[in-house]
Amino acid sequence: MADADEDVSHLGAQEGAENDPTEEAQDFRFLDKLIGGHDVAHLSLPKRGEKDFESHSTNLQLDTLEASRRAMHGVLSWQRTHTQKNHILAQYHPETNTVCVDKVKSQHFQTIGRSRGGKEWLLPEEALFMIERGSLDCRWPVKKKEGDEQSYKTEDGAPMSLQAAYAAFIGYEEGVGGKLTLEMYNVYAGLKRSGYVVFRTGTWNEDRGDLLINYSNSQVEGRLGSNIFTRFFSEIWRRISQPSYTIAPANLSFGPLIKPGLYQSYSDVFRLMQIIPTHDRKTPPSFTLPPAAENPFRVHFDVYRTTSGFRKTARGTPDFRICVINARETPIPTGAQLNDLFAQVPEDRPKAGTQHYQKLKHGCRNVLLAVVDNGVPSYIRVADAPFDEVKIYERTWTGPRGKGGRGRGGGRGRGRGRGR
Amino acid sequence: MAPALAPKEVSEPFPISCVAGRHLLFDVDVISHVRRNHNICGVLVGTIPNLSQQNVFLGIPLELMSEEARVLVEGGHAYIVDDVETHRQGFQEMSRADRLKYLAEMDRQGTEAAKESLAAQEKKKDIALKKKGWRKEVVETETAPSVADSTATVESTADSTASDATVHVELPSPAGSGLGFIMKGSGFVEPQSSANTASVPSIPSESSGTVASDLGSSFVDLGSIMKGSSFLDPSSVSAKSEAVAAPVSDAAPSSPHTSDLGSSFSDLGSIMKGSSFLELAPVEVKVEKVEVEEAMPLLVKEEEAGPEEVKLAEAQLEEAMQEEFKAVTADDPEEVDLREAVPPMGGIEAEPAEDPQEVDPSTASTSLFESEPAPSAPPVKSTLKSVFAQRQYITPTTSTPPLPTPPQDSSRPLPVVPKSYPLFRFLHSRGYFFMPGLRFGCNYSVYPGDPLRYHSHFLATGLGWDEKFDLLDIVGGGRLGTGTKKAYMVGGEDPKAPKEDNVRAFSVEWASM
Repeated sequence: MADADEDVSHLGAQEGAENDPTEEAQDFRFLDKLIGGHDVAHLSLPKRGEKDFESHSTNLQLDTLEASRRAMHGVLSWQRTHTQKNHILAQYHPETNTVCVDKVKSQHFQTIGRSRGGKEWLLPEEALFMIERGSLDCRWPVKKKEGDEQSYKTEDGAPMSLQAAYAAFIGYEEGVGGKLTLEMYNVYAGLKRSGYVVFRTGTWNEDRGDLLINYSNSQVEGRLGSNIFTRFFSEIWRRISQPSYTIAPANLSFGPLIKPGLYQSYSDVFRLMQIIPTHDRKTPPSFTLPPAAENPFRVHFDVYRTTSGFRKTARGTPDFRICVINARETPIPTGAQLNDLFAQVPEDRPKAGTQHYQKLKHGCRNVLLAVVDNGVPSYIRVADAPFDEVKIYERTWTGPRGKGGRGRGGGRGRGRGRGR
Repeated sequence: MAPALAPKEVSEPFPISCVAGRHLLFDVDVISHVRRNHNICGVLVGTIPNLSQQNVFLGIPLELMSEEARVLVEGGHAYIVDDVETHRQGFQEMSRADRLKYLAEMDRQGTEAAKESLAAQEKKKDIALKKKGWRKEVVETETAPSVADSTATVESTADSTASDATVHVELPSPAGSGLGFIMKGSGFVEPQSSANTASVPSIPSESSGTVASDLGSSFVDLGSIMKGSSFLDPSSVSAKSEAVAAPVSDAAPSSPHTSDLGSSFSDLGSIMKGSSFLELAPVEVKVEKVEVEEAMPLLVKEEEAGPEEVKLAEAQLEEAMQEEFKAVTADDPEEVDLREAVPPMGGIEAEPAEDPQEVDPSTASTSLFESEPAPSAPPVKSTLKSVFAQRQYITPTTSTPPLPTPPQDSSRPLPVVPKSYPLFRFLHSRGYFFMPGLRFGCNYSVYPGDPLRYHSHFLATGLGWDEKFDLLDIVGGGRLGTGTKKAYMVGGEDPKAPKEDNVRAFSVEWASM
């Protein structure tokens, strides 16, 4: 995301590093100036102001700093108010750490909440975000005394302050067996503020995510969809073109890898030299570690780009999958942890015909790591790069090959003869 | 809302909320305080209400690094509070009396917020219309005054009549507000008094001033009713009986800091809540009684001086209004037009929360008696409705007004800090500011002053005294630091050295040769 700007590639262009809006603290004066009242609908955000390198103890500098601090103070003291028209009332349920909404009346509920027993329920992160952005009036449940038969309405409960909301939705979470941490919430809220649609991956009830073995790969579907003759011929072609035998390990220590014979292309020669075993991506993935609650590497959020026809009941495949980790507590994942993390995401191969480098970069499975250091998130994309499938000797120089759209592996059939 | 307020003084030690092992600050004054006095910035992680579609400016809460919390606690400036337990006891076990008191306070704030936003709306409209109307008036002085003015009236009947009035009476006159009230007030005025208004055109401007003050004050009267009635939640009131009224009215005197308005208000509220069985009309009577109690000393005086008072207002109005108002009222058809536009406008433009201070309080109380029998049930009903549409709900930022400031727990362990803490403490004691260093691949980005004003100087990484680390880290850090006009810094604590002078730091710059 924003990290692109902080890349080392900016070493030469120092301007880039300085103009990155997310780099450092913002000057709230500019925000305040633009907003004035509360009508912020048509405003775009300001550029950061000029900053100084060090103090020179001038009054001008001190005054500017004071103005910035005051502006910041002013913005931070904004109150969360609900007009009668936009008032969404909800009640907190301490037993499950969720929130039950009285009457759903806003666009937000197209992308949050789930209906259960005729009522709309919000997960802790959803409720907290709604409260924080000033769109939800959440109430504590009324404490009943012994023998108090009166039935209380939601609005009789005490309003939940922002502080109380953090204490409840983040603080109570562990007590009810939930898994939401402040880091996860930071990431959730950050993505929501950026306009993404964010949902939990699965239910979070188990100690780790679900194993995903189904291939939601468009390429696979595309191949199955072609007609039977094409499939028949391409199958024959595949059988002819692929080596029918592999070199037995015992032979490797003695004979030459490439026996004398007639070779019509280098590809055949290279293929015979492929002796280093690689990770087999054809077999369905499996977990290597036992399920453990303390393993931080699991997919936490499904992230969707905002589209017009989005329905929360039929969400489709997410655009990104995010795993949230705490920069201060979590070391770099081990191989086993990475394997288990990748087992939770479906195969996502690059499009056929893309450049080799792109294919490697895209990987066949990928996941976004959101590394949070004390509230500052940084997003890192981790991909499983299929080096054994991207073969340099099959490189094509003139764009995609015209072999009936067979996609990947299209270069294999060049040489008919095989070495013996 | 009011921007750039100076932060309030904070008494130390202040509490730091600890939620699930993280340290958070919710009080905006404390946030300003630590920034100014303890060079602690933390990271704002919350969403700013009404600005929730961006990630550049963030708001409350402020997340403190555990090092920052530790420094504050060690210095005796702050203490850690388990927010989870505090809230579990504070809210889930909240007593009925406390809850009702809290709700009443929230209602008060909500009405104030509504008032504020209405005032802001009004102001904005004023400015916009002034911009538009100003040009008209310039034209008007060149041509015949009466004609031009009437056209202005016609045009602005499309907008609210209230601001229509202010367009014409924008001179610095006391009558300005009075005239505004005519228009606003007349929305609520019952048939009899609107008949009065109808007679305005025929009467010379002097007596129209009388009507003006009359109407204005009757509006205030209505306003006070409405204020009270915002408590009257038909659904919730029925659930509460007289028993409810007791704690609430107890609560009112116990908070002496509330203004007169506020206390009369909570009085109203208590009566409202208690009087659930009352029909609308009796409720209204009650309200007036409370007002009477409240303003009794004034009232007695004013009642006697009633007619004079009206005259006084008249005189005030006279001076400033003569020119403008005459112009408005001179043209009969236009005036009719205006009046016709009033009743529907009144519903939308209802100004129940208009600041009562603006009006002479004496006139207000006089009219209480004058107009007491006047409002009949149907118009009151409609005004009640319009007030419900205005009242706002508040989500407070902190929990400490209903809850007491939590006590200090000295047995609580200090915040757990990473091994880079000595370097942090060292630089902090030298007056540096910090931000998390994740973006630059270090522990902290270190600023020479408030990050609001200065660029950072160092990318600091804290290490153990004898800890071995990769030379490549130096190269990487040095390159990145130099590329971003900063210096890479490593530092650590010598366990054998004396306590004051045991941290050493080295800054690394890429020589780029």
